[in-house]
Amino acid sequence: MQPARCRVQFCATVLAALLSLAGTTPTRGQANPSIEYQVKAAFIFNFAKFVEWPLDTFKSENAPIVFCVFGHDPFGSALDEIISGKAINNRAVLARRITESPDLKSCQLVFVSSAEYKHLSEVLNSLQGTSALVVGESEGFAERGGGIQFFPEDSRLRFAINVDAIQRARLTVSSKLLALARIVHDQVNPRGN
Amino acid sequence: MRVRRRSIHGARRPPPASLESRILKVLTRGYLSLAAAALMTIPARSQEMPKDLGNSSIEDLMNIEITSASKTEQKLSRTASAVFVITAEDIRQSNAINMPDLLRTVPGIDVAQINANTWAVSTRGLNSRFSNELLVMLDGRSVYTPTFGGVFWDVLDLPLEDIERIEVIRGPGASVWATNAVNGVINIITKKASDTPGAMVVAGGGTADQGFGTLQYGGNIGKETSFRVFTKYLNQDHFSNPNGQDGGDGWDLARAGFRTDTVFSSKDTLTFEGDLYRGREGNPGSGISSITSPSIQGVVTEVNLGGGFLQTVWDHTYSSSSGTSLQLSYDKYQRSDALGETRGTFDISFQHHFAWGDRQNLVWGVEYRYSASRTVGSLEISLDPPNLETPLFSSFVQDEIALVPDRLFLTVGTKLEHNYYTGWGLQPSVRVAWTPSPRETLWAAVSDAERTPAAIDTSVVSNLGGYTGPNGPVAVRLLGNPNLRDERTIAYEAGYRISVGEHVSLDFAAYYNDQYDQETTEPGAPFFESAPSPPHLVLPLINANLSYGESHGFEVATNWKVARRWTLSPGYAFEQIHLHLEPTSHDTTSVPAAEGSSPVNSAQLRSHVALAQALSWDASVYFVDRLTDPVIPAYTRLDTGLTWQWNKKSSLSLVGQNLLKDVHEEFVDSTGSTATTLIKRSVFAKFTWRF
Repeated sequence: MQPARCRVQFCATVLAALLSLAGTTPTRGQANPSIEYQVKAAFIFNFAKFVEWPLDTFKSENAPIVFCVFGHDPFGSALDEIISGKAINNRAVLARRITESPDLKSCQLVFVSSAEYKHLSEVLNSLQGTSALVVGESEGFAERGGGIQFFPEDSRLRFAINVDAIQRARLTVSSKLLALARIVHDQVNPRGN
Repeated sequence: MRVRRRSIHGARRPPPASLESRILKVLTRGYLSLAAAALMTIPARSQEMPKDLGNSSIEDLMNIEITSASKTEQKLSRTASAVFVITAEDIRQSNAINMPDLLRTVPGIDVAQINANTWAVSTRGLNSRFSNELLVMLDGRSVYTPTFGGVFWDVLDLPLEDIERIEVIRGPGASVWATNAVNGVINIITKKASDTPGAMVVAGGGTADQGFGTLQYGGNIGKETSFRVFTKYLNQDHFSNPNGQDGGDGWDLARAGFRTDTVFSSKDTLTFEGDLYRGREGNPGSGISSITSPSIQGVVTEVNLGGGFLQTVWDHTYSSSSGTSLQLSYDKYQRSDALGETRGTFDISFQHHFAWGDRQNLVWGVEYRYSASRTVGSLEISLDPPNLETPLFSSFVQDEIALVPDRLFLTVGTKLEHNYYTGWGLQPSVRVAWTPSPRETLWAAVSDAERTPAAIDTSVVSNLGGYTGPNGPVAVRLLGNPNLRDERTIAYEAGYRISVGEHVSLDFAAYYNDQYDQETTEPGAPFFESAPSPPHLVLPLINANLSYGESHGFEVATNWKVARRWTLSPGYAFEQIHLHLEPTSHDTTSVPAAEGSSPVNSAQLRSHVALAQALSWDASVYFVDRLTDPVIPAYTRLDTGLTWQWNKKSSLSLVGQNLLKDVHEEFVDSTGSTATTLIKRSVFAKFTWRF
């Protein structure tokens, strides 16, 4: 086989393979969630284990704990995989995707991705008076009234807890979780945000 | 550095009468190589994810690294190439105190020690002191020298305690940079300064490694910046040559270095690192007294080593699925060996990865490298021209497409490169990974890879000695060929990874390579030369691309947790090359050299036992099949160590190496640049204290 010819053949094969695959690529579904979001999903499940909701949040004794992802969902299947078949204090755990902020009232935990950070005020407004734990990942999220905020440190995930927001939502956070967190407070005008 | 002549040390000295045939025989091209290239998959994920994140504690989760130094993040389970990761834990358990010994633990990597300060390292065939098909990167910076396209393993001597992991990829499917590489990629990633706080003292010594140690201190500057500084020293005793005399290969090396990591916003990190080293090693090489000298003498030369590097990396994260990285580096080294080279290399690279829709992850990058070399040269070896500046432009693009989410991934990409010698080259590849279940992965790949010529291939002038012919003195000379073409390889690879139950994992990879335009050495037209005197006829031997061939093989790496405290890691590799000459070739040495320089079979068994809370015992047995050209008998080596970690901060290890035989040989440098000495049984003790 001549090298030059082989190269052409090779490229042609690659191209053909690409074209045929492009033609058959299914269009449903999501890419594999990144490791970051697999870990974040596991964190969120852990948060719920260390948070006590006031009893009046739940409709009944066995009512599930509902995790809601507001708007853009970066988890793919990761969150569902983490919580599937699991229970916290004899309550099942459900995950829901919510696109309209008024629908958030039924959630015990709300995740607001960085893509939806611009809607944080709207989310917090509709959750006023409820006992939802609001979790986010944008810089300044906790200071602006979010409950728990992820932040990266040395390529690993850390989290900050806004104790004012926790108190407003009448949540009880275990001291173990607080010990691992960076504690922050409401900031009226953080960095001009 | 010299690039020729078979070692003639002691008992290996051939009879003088056969000089001509000897010269032809010795012209085994130490630097023949499979071309290979790169693009494609990204180095593996740094760490394996816990099996069930849902049951992980918060503390565990806080320890999972979510970004990687690799081009983009990719789970090991769906990497479509033969990947092996050496973790920091593996490094501790290996009891290795230098990089080549650490690489022995990877099934399929051929590591052979030539003498106390020289190694030959390759994968999938063609081992040589000047192996030029293996790319080695340290924190994203290529550490091979463009002089011959390989690595000076003696000076790749960083503190092993500071290594986060080493990603070893066999085959061409590995790196997006991989300039003039690759039958494989070794990607060394050091720990961030924030992961090495406090002081560390490592001190040890023994019968071969007479004294070694590291002093290190890490801390913080302000809130955002962490740093570490270190010094490292080693002093190694000489081995004996086959006649039982001092082999002259003792050496020492001192190094000082630093790393800083600054997190200057939640999305930006800046890393600086660098080091300086100075050392001295004995090179038991060979020399000729005049250009037509009929005899080659063993000569030990003292080689001064010096060098260092400085690099900075700015990483910016746009979102969880997109980021950029800008890297600048400068590297300089100096070696007062037969070539007498000083080389400085400046490199700037940029890469960007991002998600495109729900299913595609794209990564692309550009790199510019400028390398300038000055050589003094000697009668034995010089470069023509002696000073050369070689720019290199490289770029790549790669797309990982989730054909079926979580199940089937297609990765396509290509590298486009422009090098000084052969101009533009395009190196595409296609890879597929299928994970039918979270426990198993099947993958396959086809890549077109190139090895571009190095300075030694195009510019070498090496006098191999001579004889007195009927018409006067004759000199035989190896000459580089500026018109050499790239060596090309089409590599077909496939692999299977599976975890069986909780206790057994298995990784299997097989390959078949078609190789074209492989290097040979051809006799050229004789010519007269009056200087240096006496006037003489030169019989030139010129590098050419007149062979082709195929190679195939497979590698198996397994991990078996036999009991709670006992892990066994067996590994096996099979590799075979067949080369053929084009009808126009008159080369008689390249084919046997290529076919006989790597072992057909190699096997290893590593064992780790946690004897008690604080005491662990590690043992490694390596079997390496015989080499046929130059001949090295098969050997088995046993290394073992006992480590007592009496608290989190202090540990003491007692290590024995090469315990089975008094002495053994592992490799002969067929180029004659350095002689083989006898690797002896040795023991050392090592103490590590952190505070």
